[in-house]
Amino acid sequence: MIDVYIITIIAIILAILISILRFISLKDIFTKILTTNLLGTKIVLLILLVSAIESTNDFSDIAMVYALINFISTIVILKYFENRRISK
Amino acid sequence: MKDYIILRIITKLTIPLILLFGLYVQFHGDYSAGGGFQAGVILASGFILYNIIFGIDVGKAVLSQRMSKILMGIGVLLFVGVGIMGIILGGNFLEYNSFSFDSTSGQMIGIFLIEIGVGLTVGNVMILVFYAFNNEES
Amino acid sequence: MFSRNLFAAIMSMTIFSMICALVFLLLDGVDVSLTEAAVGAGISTILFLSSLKHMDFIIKKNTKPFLFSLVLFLVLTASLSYIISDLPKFGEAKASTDSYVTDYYLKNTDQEIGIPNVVTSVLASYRGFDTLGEVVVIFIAGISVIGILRKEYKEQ
Repeated sequence: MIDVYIITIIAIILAILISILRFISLKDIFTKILTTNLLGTKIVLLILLVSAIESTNDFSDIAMVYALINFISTIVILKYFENRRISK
Repeated sequence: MKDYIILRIITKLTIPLILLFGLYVQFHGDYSAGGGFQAGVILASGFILYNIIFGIDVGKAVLSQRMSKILMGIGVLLFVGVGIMGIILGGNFLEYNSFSFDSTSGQMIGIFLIEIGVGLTVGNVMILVFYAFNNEES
Repeated sequence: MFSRNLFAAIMSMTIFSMICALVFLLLDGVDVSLTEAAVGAGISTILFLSSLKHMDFIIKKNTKPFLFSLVLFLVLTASLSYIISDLPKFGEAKASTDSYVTDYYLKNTDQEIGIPNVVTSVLASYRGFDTLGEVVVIFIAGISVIGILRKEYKEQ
C-alpha cells in the first residue's frame, strides 16, 4: 500500500515541477494565475498524502488552511486582474 | 462584484466555515497546531473576502474602522493586564501559576487569555491595514 | 521573481511561500507551516495587491550600471556560504541548539503547564515576554500604517 502512495507522491512532485517551469517560461498573465491555482491544489494533495503515510491528523488542518488561502488569493488576484484595483 | 451570482453564493456559503475554522485554530491551539497569531490572520482574511465581494461599505457596516481600532487596543491591554494580574496575585510579571487553585489550571487560564489578546490584535491590525490601503476612492 | 511586471512578481512570491510552507511541514514544524501558509500566501498577497494601486504597474528598465550591486551580492553570498560550514549537521543529536533548554521544555511541559502542544507552552508561558514584544510591534506597525496613509490622504 505504501508503494502506491510513494508513486503518487513522485507523480505529484513531477507535476509541480512542470507547472513551475510553465510559470517561469510563459509571459501571459492569465496563464500564470491559472498556474498559481493549480499549484495550490497540488500542494493540498501532497500534504494529505504525507499525512496518510504518517497516519497523523495534524496535517489535515494545514491542508484546510491551504485550500482556504488558495481560494481567497485566487479571487483577489482575479478581481485585481479585472479592474486594476481590489475595492470598487 | 455583486453581480456575479456564483461568486456571491459560494462566498456566502464559505465565509461561516472560514470563521468557524479560525475560531477552531484559536481555541484548539493548546492541543494541536495553531494559536492566536494564525487564528487572527485566518479570521481577518475571511473578513477581507467579505469586503472584497460585497463592497467595502457593507463591510464597514459589519465592523467599522472605529470599532476595529478599539478592539486592536483591547488586545494589547488584555495581554498586559494578564501580566499585571500575575503581579497582583503574588507572582512575577506574566506568571500564571497563582490564577487558580493549582498551577496547571492557572497556566491554562493564562494561556487562554493571552491567545485571545494576540488574536484580537493581529486580526484587527490586518483589517485596518486593508481599510487604510483601500479607503479613498480616487 | 525576476520579472519587471510587479503583478507576476507578487504571484511568484505566493508560490514561493506555498512551497516554503510545504518544506516546513515536511520538517515537522507544523505551527511554523501554518503561520507561513496563512501570512505569507494569504494576507501578504492581498496587502501587496492593495498597495499596487498606489504605484506604477511595470518597473522601467534600470539603465544605471549594476556593478556595485553585483559585487555586493557576490560578497554576501560568499560570506554566507562560508558560515554554512560552521553550522551543525542536519539532524545531529548533539547540536548546541538541541541540548539544554529544549530537553527541559520537552520533559517538563506536561507537569508544569499541562497542555500537550509544546510550541504553545513555550510561546505563551515560558517565553511570554517575547510574545508581548511581538504583539506590541504588530500594534505599532498597524498604527504607523494608518497614520502615514491618513496624512497623505489629507494633503491631496
